[in-house]
Amino acid sequence: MPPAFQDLQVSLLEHLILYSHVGATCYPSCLVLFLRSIKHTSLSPLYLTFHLVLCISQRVASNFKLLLSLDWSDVAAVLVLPIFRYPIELHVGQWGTTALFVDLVSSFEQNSDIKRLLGDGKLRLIHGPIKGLP
Amino acid sequence: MIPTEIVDHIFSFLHSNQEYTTLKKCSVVFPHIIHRLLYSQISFSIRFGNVNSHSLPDETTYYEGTYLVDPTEFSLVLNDHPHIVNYVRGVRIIFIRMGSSHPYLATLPLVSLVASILSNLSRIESIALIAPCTCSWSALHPELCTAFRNCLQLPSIKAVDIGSYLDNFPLTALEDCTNLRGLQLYCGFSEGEGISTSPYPRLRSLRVDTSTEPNFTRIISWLKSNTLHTLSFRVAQFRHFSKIRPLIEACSHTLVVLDLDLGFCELL
Repeated sequence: MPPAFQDLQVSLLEHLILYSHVGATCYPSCLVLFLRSIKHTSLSPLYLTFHLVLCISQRVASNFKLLLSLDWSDVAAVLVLPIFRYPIELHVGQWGTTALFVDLVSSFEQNSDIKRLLGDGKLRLIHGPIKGLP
Repeated sequence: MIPTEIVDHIFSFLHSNQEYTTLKKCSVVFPHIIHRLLYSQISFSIRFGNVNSHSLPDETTYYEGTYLVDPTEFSLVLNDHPHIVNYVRGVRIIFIRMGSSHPYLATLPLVSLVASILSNLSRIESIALIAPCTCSWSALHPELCTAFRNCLQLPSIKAVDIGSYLDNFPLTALEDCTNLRGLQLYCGFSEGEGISTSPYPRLRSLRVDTSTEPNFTRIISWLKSNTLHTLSFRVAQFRHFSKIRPLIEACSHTLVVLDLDLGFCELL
């Protein structure tokens, strides 16, 4: 863990809102480490609203197929952290191609923890366009 | 005769649907009701550069939920209806680039006019300065800078938005803003000289990004007022991610909502 994030004390924190873009840039795996470092003295779980933006242009989509499937384990690792209140909202915005979304869903179906969260209604997958983008 | 409440409701509906052109036409008959609605939230567009390449069509009357008004036209309206200055609660100043020209060099008369209008608005609660291309605060017209800074010092000011590509905005301009609660700094900013001893601003909501090398020393000193409820942090580069810790620590006893946008992170 980066030393900068050890034992963050945020006793009143109730709600985490995360935005992460996948495709055009790289997913920051350090996010999991950062979230683990949050010490929750109030003991109450956090609300999580996770906006996952799948942004890849049509122009590079065909080339990008070569890289699929992506490793979605960092996304899954965030969702199964034992610090969140259910249901977790995962908003999946999409721009340019459905390939990333299909790959994400496929990955989730193979992850037993995520599959259980979805089945129990503890994870709400909300798929839609990215606000402000065509 | 339709009761005033019903008329008010109809015009409020038009306003919420951004039917500004219709409202303007109706203002001839119902000036007071409509002026209060129409000019409550306004945006001034300052277009510069090649006037033949429009980045916004001429018929555009709104910008992010506010009435987009031409400064010259608004000045004329003020001449006929000076009471309108009391209705204005929110102002956005938007530089709209039409080429590669420089805002300081290209639009002196219009910028001076906007500065003059700003100096008459004494009841605004929110103010925003939006630049579409990288330009430095020091390159803006001095009259506009002065008028903008004077607005920041108004006791009515509650929210300030500086973005998106403005650089070198002086944080010292925000000190002593006694009632400022919401601050969005999607811009480059400068710390200024000296250590802050002001108890203000007492922020409840703060949005910052790290598009430039950020130094949060002065902002952290503001957060010691223990009032911050929501912190939004947009990361431009991975190495800036660690800068979030001192911000969180400074408001650790009050922070309720943490909003992290890692969309611009470059890890590899």
